Amino acid sequence: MSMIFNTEWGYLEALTRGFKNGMLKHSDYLNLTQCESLEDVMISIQGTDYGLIFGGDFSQPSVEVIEKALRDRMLQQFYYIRSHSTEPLSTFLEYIRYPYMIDNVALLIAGLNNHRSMKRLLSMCHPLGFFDQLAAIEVATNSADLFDAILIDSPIAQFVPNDLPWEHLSHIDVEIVRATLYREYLENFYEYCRKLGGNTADVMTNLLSFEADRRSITIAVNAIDSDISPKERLKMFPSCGFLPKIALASMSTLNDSEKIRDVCNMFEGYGKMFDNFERDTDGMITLEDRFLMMEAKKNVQTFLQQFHFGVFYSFMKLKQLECRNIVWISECISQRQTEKINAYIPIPFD
Amino acid sequence: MSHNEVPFDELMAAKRESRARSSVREIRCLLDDLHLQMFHLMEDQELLHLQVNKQSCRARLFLARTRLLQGSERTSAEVRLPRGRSYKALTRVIEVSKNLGKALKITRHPVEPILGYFRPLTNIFGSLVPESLRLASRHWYHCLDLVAECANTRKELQWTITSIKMLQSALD
Repeated sequence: MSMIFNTEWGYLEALTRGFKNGMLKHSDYLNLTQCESLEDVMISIQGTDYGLIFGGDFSQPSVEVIEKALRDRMLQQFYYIRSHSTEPLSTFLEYIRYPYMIDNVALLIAGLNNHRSMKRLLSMCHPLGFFDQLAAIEVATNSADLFDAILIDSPIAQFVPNDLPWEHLSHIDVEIVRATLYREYLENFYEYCRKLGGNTADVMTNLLSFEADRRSITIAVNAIDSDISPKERLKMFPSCGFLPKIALASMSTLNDSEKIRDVCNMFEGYGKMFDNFERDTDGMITLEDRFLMMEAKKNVQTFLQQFHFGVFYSFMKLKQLECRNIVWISECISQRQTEKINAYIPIPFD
Repeated sequence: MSHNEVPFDELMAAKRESRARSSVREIRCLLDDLHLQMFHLMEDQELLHLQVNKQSCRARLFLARTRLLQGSERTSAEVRLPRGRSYKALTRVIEVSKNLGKALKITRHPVEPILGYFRPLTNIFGSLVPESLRLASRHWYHCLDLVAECANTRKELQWTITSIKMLQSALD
């Protein structure tokens, strides 16, 4: 398997490991947190593996400029890997893009419901989530047309459940639509990775099961005191996680975070995610932060094994997290609130 | 007439002078109190400004936190803010009568979707609002109360300054 893997994808795995080795280390983050202005941040970033991503132009430093440049670099790396890949890696890499497509579609639905111009909405979409039919969405005058005319031929049509009432989309909460699509995507991806077998199946089913549990717990907590019925909540919980169906059914009915924590404690030890850090006096570190930290740790551990596709998935996740960390640091400097600048999500490479 | 008896006119004049001195003393005491009140109100106003600044800074940081956790695309207010579908505001500012004139008060209507009173956060960002966004919302909520209090303190301060000016012109 390893020889076959190296023949087809050895170069791309090596390249991805090279990209991963170029990611920011703890010392780089220290340099960034000590910057006093956005120009300093841009200069510091150019001293890392990112290189001259700003083109030497610091005339208009802003968080948006920094974010765009970081994102463009990530896109460049992904598209290079994608364009040199062969099956089944090509399909695997498409699966990495599907969440961005789902987010773009959710953004367009929300924007259409609020009568925003399509041109403006398209400029706000994530480039990784672009697909051919997205540009054609401009002709859709309402969200029912959106599905019938456009999405039915798009890559994410496979994740649309049959019971989603597209003709009444303007009355459905966009977050419920997003969560439903994401659930189908996650289960589909899980099944695909399982069928790939080998190290890829081992690594990816582990990562995707954690992602599924994280989605379920986060949705259960965020849906507390909302109008979403237990049946609708259960429909949004992916079933490919480590949490058994009985735990998911129980969480869908609970309206108290302590009780959700008790359920999590019984299975897989997710209960410690609900613990507060002692040093966090403002409540800045929420449940999602703690899940992100664990996800970062799992994605770093992926690189301990060879000859599997998980390295590509984990690299993209870690790169996205790195971009968001840099944006967080930039926002703290821009807002002159540097006391919380060290509250980024650490990536434990060392 | 005995030389010990004081003429009536002089007595009345002396009484008038004594009364005038006493009212000047009272005005001066009142001026002192008003000045003290003015300084206390200025201090209160500065403290309120600082608190408003602190709350809004904290809320902005929580918004940045939401962008860290979910990305900028998912929480874009530009996409989510409703247009063409009006709903009634839960929070209103009304004027109430108080001792020193009108004062501002914040009133909050209970959530009643049937009557068009929606919860703003879930109405705009959907039912699955992340915790950081809820925390930001709470800080902005508190900001509104502080701003109303700040406006009332400023009104009282202006009234105090006006009173000081009137009394000073009465003395002159």
